[in-house]
Amino acid sequence: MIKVVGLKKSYGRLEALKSISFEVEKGSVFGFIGLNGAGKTTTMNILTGLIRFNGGKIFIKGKDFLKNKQELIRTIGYLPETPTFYNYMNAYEYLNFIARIIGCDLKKTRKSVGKLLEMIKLTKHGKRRIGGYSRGMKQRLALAVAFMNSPEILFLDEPASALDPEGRVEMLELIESLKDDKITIFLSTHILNDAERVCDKICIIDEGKILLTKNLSQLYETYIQPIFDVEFEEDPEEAVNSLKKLSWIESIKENGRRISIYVKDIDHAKKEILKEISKLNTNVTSYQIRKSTLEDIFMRMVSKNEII
Amino acid sequence: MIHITVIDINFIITEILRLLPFFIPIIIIQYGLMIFALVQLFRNEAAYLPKWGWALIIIFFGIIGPVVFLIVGKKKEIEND
Amino acid sequence: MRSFKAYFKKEILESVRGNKYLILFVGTIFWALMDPLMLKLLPLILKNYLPADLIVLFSTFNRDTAFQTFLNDLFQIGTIIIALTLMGLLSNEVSLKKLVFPYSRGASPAGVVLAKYIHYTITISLFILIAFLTNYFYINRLFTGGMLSIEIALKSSLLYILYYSVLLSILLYFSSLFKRGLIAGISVLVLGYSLSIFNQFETIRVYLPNYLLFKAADIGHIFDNSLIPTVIISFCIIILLVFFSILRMKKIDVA
Ligand SMILES: Nc1ncnc2c1ncn2[C@@H]1O[C@H](COP(=O)(O)OP(=O)(O)O)[C@@H](O)[C@H]1O
Ligand SMILES: [Mg+2]
Repeated sequence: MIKVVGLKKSYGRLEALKSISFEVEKGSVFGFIGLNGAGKTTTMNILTGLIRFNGGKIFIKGKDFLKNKQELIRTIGYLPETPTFYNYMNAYEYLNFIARIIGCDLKKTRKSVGKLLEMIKLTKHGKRRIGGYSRGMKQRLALAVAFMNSPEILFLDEPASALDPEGRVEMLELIESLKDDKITIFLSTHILNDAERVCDKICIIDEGKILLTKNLSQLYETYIQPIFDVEFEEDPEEAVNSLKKLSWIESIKENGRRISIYVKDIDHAKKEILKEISKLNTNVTSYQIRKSTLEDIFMRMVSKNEII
Repeated sequence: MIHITVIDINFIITEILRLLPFFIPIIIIQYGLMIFALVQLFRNEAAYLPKWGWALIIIFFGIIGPVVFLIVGKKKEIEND
Repeated sequence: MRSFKAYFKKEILESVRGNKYLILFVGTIFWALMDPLMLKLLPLILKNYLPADLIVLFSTFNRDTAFQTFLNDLFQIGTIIIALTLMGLLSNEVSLKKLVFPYSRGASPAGVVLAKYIHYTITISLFILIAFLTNYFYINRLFTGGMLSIEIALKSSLLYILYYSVLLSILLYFSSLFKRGLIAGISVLVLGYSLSIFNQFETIRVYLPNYLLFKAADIGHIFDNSLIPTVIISFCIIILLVFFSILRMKKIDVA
């Protein structure tokens, strides 16, 4: 559905995107994950045709995006990070304005504008000026704009970040419900729980580079390394130093008296780790094997990248 | 000398009375706009100056005051987010 | 065409709610009413305070000179009001990121630019026409002498309308170039005023739009052949600048 090859973007001297490539399959939910400033919004602005880029190719539905922009853009809906409206309009007027631009049949539109307002629970406030809306109400209105005329591809840039917990759950449920339709969703977020819940495929971006693109199930298979959480009675400084020398231990994350040990070979580790700990001359208060979550994978990917 | 001045004043008064109807549209525009600007000032946020400052400008600067207020002083809903 | 209609309606709504119609209307009509009255009243009020020769100067106003005074004031003040009211025409849309949704839903830059240009050209033309007619009516009631006629007033208003159409296209283009509307507005003001200086030079003035203003005040010979190059050039400027604005809005980053 979307294919990006070697995409580059610079803001002056800052290279925001350093030749990124990925592919999004039709009907899937693509989770685009990265810390603040990683380049998520930049990528989405490029894919929705709002800003230019410096190199690379984009194909949407198999067609060159630059050459068929006007045609392709009609199949896209975009929920930007901070949506802006004409604040002197009310929700009805703004939705009708967008409907006119899309070129929907206005009779159908009036019905669907009403339906959209119901869907985002703004019917009561439909006649109030948008300027007076709260951040969350604007976010929901923005979703209605993005969703108007049922686009084939929906770009959602951190859709839940401005919402209260309840709204966040609703947003996720909405995305999940859309999954049944033949709609492709490109979702950027830094909230990993959300991504884990709704995405089929995960793409991790950091400092303008793609670190990994994998199906969520595949991701768990390859990266599903249990993590060994060990808690000591005293500061484990020495223990960490001697454990780090072992070849089968990949890395150790320290968090006060608690350490998380990442290993290369799980089976070997399961046998050896207790032996090694008992060799250390310290008291252990707890020992636990934990399944890694997306968050663990993400943290490992991003911090590895830092070392390189 | 005095006599002439008296005639002049009479003449001026009749002239002004004759011109009076011509002033009506101007007065309507001027005061209508002033009142409109003051209402807008009360209802909206003001930019750059405190509200009383804008009120003085609207009232004492003739037609220019309300126009300047409406162009720069009224925080446009278009611009705030 | 879809975007044109959508934006035309949007500009109407914005002009109503942002008081733009009101400001532009007052900014043009007020001088049409005020100027003749002031010219009539000042000599009366000042009669006892000023030396006789100065009073004579005031009293020599006939219908033609009163009309010319209005033309001059309309240019001076009308230009400021138009420039300041409409300076954000495109720059605000871009810098405040208002185009993100419309562009992402396929709005055409040509539609957006044309809707804005045509909407405000029609608005200003209409207000200028009303101002000229009102002024003509007032002058006829208050002054005598001169050769001013309704036909002359209409011809003159036509030149003013063309002039402001040119000015609006310059404003439109500057507004697409600069991030800040104020810079566009002030540039247009400086350009508009400074070009009037060239009206003293007979050889080049016919190639500059401000010659339209000069001829509009040339009662008796408003339409003559000297206007041909000016009119042609004016239309060329409009077409080119609207075209460049569209190009610019096609290329510009709106997010
Ligand atoms: N308009 C801009 N001008 C200059 N730098 C920008 C601009 N937009 C984004 N950046 C920079 O590009 C990088 C990526 O930003 P962004 O795509 O917004 O990240 P994310 O959405 O992942 O938080 C950041 O370092 C940011 O500072
Ligand atoms: Mg972002």
